[in-house]
Amino acid sequence: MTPSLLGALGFLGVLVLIAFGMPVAVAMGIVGAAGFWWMNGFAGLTFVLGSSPFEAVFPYSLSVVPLFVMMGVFASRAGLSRSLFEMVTSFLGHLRGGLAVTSVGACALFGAICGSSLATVATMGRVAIPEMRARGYSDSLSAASIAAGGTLGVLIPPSILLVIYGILTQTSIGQLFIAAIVPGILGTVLYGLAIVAKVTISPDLAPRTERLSWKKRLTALRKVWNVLALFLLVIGGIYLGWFSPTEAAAVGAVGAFLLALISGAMDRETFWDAAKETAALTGMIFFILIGASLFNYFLETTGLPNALIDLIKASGLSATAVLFLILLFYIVLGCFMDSMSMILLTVPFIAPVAQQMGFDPVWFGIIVVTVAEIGLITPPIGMNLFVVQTTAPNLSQRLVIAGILPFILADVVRLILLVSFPLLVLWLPMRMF
Amino acid sequence: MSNNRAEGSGGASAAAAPRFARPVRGAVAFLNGVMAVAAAVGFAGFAAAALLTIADVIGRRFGFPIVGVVDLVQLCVLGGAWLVIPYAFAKNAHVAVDLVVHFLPARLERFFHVLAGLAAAGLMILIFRACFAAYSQQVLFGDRSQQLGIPIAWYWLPLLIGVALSVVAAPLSILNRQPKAGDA
Repeated sequence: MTPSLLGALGFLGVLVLIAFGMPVAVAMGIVGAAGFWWMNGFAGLTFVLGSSPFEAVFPYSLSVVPLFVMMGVFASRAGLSRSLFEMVTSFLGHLRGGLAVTSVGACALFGAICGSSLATVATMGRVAIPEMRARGYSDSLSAASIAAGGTLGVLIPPSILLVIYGILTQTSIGQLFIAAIVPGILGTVLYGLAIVAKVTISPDLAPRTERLSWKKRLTALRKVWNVLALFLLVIGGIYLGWFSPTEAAAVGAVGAFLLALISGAMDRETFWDAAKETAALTGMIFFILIGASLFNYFLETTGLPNALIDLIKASGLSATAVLFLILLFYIVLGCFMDSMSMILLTVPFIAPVAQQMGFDPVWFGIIVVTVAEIGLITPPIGMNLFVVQTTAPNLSQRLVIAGILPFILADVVRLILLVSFPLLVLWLPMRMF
Repeated sequence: MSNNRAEGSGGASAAAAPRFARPVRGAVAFLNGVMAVAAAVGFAGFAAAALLTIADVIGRRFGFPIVGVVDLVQLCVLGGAWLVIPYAFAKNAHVAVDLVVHFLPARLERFFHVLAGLAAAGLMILIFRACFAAYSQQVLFGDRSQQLGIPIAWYWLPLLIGVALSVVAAPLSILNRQPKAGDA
């Protein structure tokens, strides 16, 4: 058996364990450890097990993970997510499917202050899904719109994945953040169109609700000043050079806490609940990082990623064809790996190929993160599909997956647009830098 | 279905309560309390990292940056990360899928859940063994951090505590799991 084949079997092994209910991180960790043992013996395994749990969590840049999660949780406790949802609902909620479109829009706005896809889904799901259920929306449409809307938080700045890409490729994080704005808006619009198309075909999925007066709309609009303030503080501070994007996470976390405090939403019990929620979400994310690290050690040993990359480099194909293959590679990989570990594993090898092909690093970063976003909602292990389930009782995985297809199609359309018209990504950073 | 059921405040021990004899209930409640305390310390680490960063951002505008802020933030975040991981285990917050087990009888689903909990505990035992050896080496070599010269072994202590707690928390997640209808 060749090492690459063993790597492929490792992929399958992880999928089987996950399918039988094993936590994703544990499945990756166990298969990674077993595979590494098989390839390198017990001494090699001991070395990896003794270094990976440290190295996977040690980098300073990873401090953005708990701090952006904390920011999202405090923002949620401050009622920011509800204010956003109510504001967008007041304008669009009366349309057929309007609440689902609203959820996507609120996810995009919340993603702008949160930076974490998982936290966006966890937060907005708790606000929006009960509302949609109460107004007769199908669970499938409700959950899928939140799971998909949450991916916008990955792209819309501040974004943890863009920070990681910027660090890996020495690309300006400020330029990446600015470049992500138009693709983020485009994604929001396309998700909205996907919902409209879906409810036009099946009107029963989303009944109409009452239209609100302009007075109520303006009242709802006034309630979201704090979201704007936090967004301006985090993003504006980066561009004014007050702090780095990594430090922005700390500013955002403390800013969100202060907003919660000022709004009167933060008593002792709420603070303790927020601490527990932050702990559970962060523990889950970090353990996935550690499991992915163990699995990636094994994959690197098998040479499977390199074998795939060598195939691309040796193909002699045109830049467009290579790009198509890279995108295909990421989409397939995204079905089985979480976006962060996928980017951590592949970008150091793929970015030089992209550079050789003459792709702009900022544009390529946005493309890679957009593809990684698709992975977040692609079965079988799209993270958002799982997280959205935790936000409402009696929500099954099958229901979520059943509703997600139109959103994946919208993502594919967005990808085609961004690849065909690179100016959609590069126009804004070219004007600002 | 994800088995993330972290929402129920104190729900873990409460869920376990009716199904076990009093000494077991007491032990489960005690262990859940230990995991919650570890999580609180971990959260405090994250909060400290945020406050240190803010203090540095403000301080350096006035020419008073925090010396060694990167070392301190890394210590807080690494320590915090490993101290919240056991809590995520105990609360069944680690992401899992029900693509196949959803269709199985409740007893078989429970069997796979027990298997997953024990497998996770086994993995954590292996990690603890390897990390303890690595920690011993750090103590022996006396490596220090770049900016403040903090002994690297200090970074390993919360990691070891977190891994050791996870060895306990992984099987604890089995006891904390909410029984579904038809579950024995």
